[in-house]
Order: sequence, then C-alpha cells, then structure tokens
Amino acid sequence: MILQTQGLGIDFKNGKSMRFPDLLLVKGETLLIHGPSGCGKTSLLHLLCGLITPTLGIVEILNQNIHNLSKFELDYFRGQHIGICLQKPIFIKSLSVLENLFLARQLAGKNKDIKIVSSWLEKFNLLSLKNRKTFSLSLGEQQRLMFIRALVTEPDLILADEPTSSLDDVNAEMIAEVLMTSCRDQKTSLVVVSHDSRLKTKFSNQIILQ
Amino acid sequence: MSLFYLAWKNLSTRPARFLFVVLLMSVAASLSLLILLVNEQFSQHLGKSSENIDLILCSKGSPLQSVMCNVMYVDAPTGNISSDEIKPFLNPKHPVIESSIPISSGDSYEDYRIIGTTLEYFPFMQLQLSEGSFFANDFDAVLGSEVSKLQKLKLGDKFQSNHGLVKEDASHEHEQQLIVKGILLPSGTIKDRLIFTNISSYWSMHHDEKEEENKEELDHHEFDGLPQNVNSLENLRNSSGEITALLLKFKGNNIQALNFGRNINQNTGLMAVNPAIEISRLYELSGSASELFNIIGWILGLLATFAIIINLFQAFEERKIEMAIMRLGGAGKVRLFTLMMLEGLIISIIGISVAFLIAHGSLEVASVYFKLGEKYNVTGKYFSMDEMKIIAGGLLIGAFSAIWPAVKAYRQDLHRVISSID
Repeated sequence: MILQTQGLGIDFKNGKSMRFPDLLLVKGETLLIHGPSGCGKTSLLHLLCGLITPTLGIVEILNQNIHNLSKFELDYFRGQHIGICLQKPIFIKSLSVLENLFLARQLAGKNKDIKIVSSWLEKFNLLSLKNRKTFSLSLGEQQRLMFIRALVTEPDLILADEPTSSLDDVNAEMIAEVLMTSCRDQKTSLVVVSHDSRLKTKFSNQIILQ
Repeated sequence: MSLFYLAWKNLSTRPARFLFVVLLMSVAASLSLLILLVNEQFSQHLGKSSENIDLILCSKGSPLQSVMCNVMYVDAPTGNISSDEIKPFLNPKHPVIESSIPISSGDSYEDYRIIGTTLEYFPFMQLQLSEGSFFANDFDAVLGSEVSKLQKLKLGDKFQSNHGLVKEDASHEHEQQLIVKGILLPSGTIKDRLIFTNISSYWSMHHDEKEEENKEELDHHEFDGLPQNVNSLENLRNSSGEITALLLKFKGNNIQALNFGRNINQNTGLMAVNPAIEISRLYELSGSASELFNIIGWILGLLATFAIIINLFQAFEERKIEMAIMRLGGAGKVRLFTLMMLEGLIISIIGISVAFLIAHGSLEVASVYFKLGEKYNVTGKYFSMDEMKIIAGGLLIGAFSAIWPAVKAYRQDLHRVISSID
C-alpha cells in the first residue's frame, strides 16, 4: 500500500469545511482527482503531503500516518518518499538545470549520479539545456524540468498539482504521456489533481470532487 | 553539491548587494584594525624609546621637543648646553645617577641623523655590533643596520655629513668625511636608522667650518677648544665643548631622584625633562583622537551588522519560496540553518580578509610614503594578537546575522508560501 486516507476532512478558520472521499493507491498505480476550481483539490494535495494537518481522518503513506510525524521527521519523510510537482515551477535560481537536479537527489539522501540525471533529462528532451540557468528556460521546459526533479529522487509517490493546465494541447498531451510512462516504468504511484478535462482520457482511475 | 557551494552561488548571483555588504564590513573592520595597529605600535615605540631614561638635561625650551629630539630622534634640538655645566653629572660616583649618556645632534647624512655620543651609549641602549668596531678616533662612524643596508655603506666607506637634519634643509656639507668603522645589529627601533660618531667629531666638524667661514655668529655647536677622540664619559669630563643633551638614569626611585629634576629647573640654566611624563602627555593627546576613531569603528561595525542582517533577510524574503522548495525536497532545519549561516560567514570572512589587506597595506604605504616607519616605527608588517579579537568579532557578526533569517526560513508555513505562488 502506497497511499491510504480515511475520513479526511478539514475545517477552515473562516467557517468553511471540506470532507474528502477515501483514497487507496497501490504501488505504481495512478489516480486523477478532478474537479472545478475551488473544490478543494489543492487543499487535498497539501493534506496528502503533510503541508496542512487535517481536522478529521488520517493520511497513511507506506503505512505511516504522516501527521504523527514531527515537523523535522515529516520533511525528511517527504524527501525520501514523495515527489511534489507544484502548479508553478520554482527552482533554485542561482543553480543550473543539472545542479538543481543534483540538489534534489542530495536532499532526498541519494548520491550525485550523473547517469541517472542525464537519462531523465534525455527522456524529457532537456539534455542540451543542462548547463542553463532555470529562469532562462521556457514555461514548457520548466514544467518538464519540475517533473524530472520529482522523478530523479526515485520517490514512491508523486503528487502533481495542475501539471497541464497552463500548457497548449500538444505540450499537455506530451507531458501527460511522458509523466505516466515514466511513473509506470519506475513503478512510482502518481496522484494528479487538475481541473483540466483533457486529462480525463488518460487516467482509468479517477475521483471527481464537487 | 556542498552547502558551501550553494551558499556561495546564492551570494554571487546577486553581485551588487554582495559587494556592498562585503565593502561595508571591510571598511568597518579595517578602521578597527588600523586604529589597533597604529595605537599598539606607537605606544610600543614610545615605551621602547624612553625606557631606561629617567631624565633629560638640555637647554631650556620645549620639554616635548626635547623628548622628541633626544629620545625619539624626530624633532630639532632645543639648543646646546656646555659640557662644563653638566660635569657634576658625569661623575661615576654620583650618589643618585647610575648612568649618564651625552647626545649631540643636528647633522645628518641623506636624511639619517648623525648622533655624537660616547661609547657608553651602546650598552645603555642595548645595541650590539654585527661587524667592525665601535669608534676609536674622530670621524669614525658606527651605522645602524638600516642605514648600512639602504645606503649600501660597508666598512671602510667614507661619506660626507650635512649640517641640518633633512637633506633638503641641509645648509651645507661638512668638509671632513666620516669613515664607516662598525655596523650594528638590527634592534627593531629607530636606532637602526641612526649614524653614531664620537662627541669630538661633532666639535671638529663645526670648528673647522667656523674657522673657514670666519663667522662671528655662533653656531649651535660652538665650542671652546678642540679636544680630540672624546669617546668616553671620562674623556668628556676632561674636555670642554657643547652637547645637545645628557640622558640620565637614576639609581632606584629614591626621593632625591624625584626632586632632582625640580632642583635643576629651579637652580640652573638647564632644563630637566622627565620623558615618561612628556610621553604620557603626548599619549593623552593622541589617545583622545584614537578613542574617537574607535567609536567611529564601532558605529561602522554596528552598521555592518545591520547591513548583513538586512541583506540576509532580503535574500531570505526573495528566496523564501526556494527555501520552501528545499524543505519540500527534504531539507531539514539543520541544513537550512547551516546554509544561511554559511552565507553570513562567507560575507564576514571575505570582508575581514579585505579589511586585513586594506589595513596592513595602507599602513605599509603610509609608513613608507609619510615616513611613519622611520619616525615612529609604525609599519604594515606588524601583526598584533588583538587582531584575533577583531577577526573573531567579525565572524560572530556574520554568524549572528544569519540566525534571524535562518529561524524564519525554517518556521515559515509551507502551505501558505506554496499557496501564494499557485
């Protein structure tokens, strides 16, 4: 079991509350959480990676209730087991493409393996840009680099927030395809939250939030 | 990739701000270093120059000038005194005086002062020969180590002295030539830059010249006869002439010694000067100036600390999303804290290194250009243990400045930061 949630819910200070359906994901499985803006997709994603603490219910990753971990343990656990792709790609500005990926591996406790990093860059068609600063890449290239950063740490679970919503049809298709193939090849579980209906055809396993 | 590399990259990606903070830090530290180096060397020089000398007897005039001339060898003489006036103090059985050293000055060679004295001067000042011998005859000269080195004078060489203390002011050259008979070992004091000859050489040079020019006006080295080879105190006791001053050291600190100076000032035409009192007076004057500089140094240091804190804090504000990304990737508080601390330390290490170069470099330039080395033994090559305190202070500033942004970096709410960019 990679991910399991039970009775997850959160009450916000403004009186708003959200309740989420239970999730269950085994190794290598993919899941699309779909729904309109404001339905709580991002909040659910943040609950799953431990950025917010739920009012109700539990989140277990690899049979570990992540909200029982201390802040320090949770940061470490996240680095070891979870790859996160945010809606907007952010990198360490002062480092090159290659250095950003090395840093990601290092933070996750992995060695600086140029072969692994290069093979991912090649797979996402970014190898020729490896020495460039990240801010000089196009948005599409940055998006791809963010997925490589998540994959290069060899996590058990990748959580992606709106990975295709800012991309055109061609790029969206390409990104979705490469991401899913890579996760399948690496036996990494993938949870994507998105309102992008183009993704619906790609995922057999879907949950719709209202 | 080491954290040091990441810290360095973070700083060097924003070069203008990095340079500004490093400069501020180095200006503050170099000012503190300069004050420390000048103060320490100057006070050591003052202490060293006057040690052993309890009283100076000379002609009436400015007491400070007399100390500057006869102890520090930087000012002009106050005038001359007759050897007859000082004869009682040359008595080896004097109840109060342990040693007395005559000094004649006023002549120079290429900006190096020529001091007329007796052989007792050398053991009294703890000066030793490196080669040759001390003077035995008139016009024999013993050179300080630097004079020999810089003027490339060796044993047997001859040179002509000038009347006057600096080359440009030298009114004329004396006819007789001095012969190098001995060269002293370096002492690390201004005495390395002096030339010594016996008292009667001084008298001879000025006597011949006076006869030749047939001046009626009296020269300040006027004399009443022409004794020869006045090499020792005993010779001086038996001769008549003029000298610039007599340096005295007393036997212990008895009451008689304390009243000695006052009695001379009240009852004779001589002036008795206590160098310790004059030097402490001089030090009080320069002390208040250096205290002011010290305060300015502290204020600049404080400003530098604020600038580093603000720099690191702004850097944190700009990079708080990057920090959040690092935490998402598994960077714990130790790593983030170390990263910020390293950035602060890199700034202070570079700042202090630059300050070191500025302080020692500028002091060395000043020492050569303004002749501070020559006059006050102040050089850029001097290193003080107290500099370690300034280094430690600078490093602490660097590390302390990083604490606040580092704590903030770790305490930030990841959910809020990430929601703000999504």
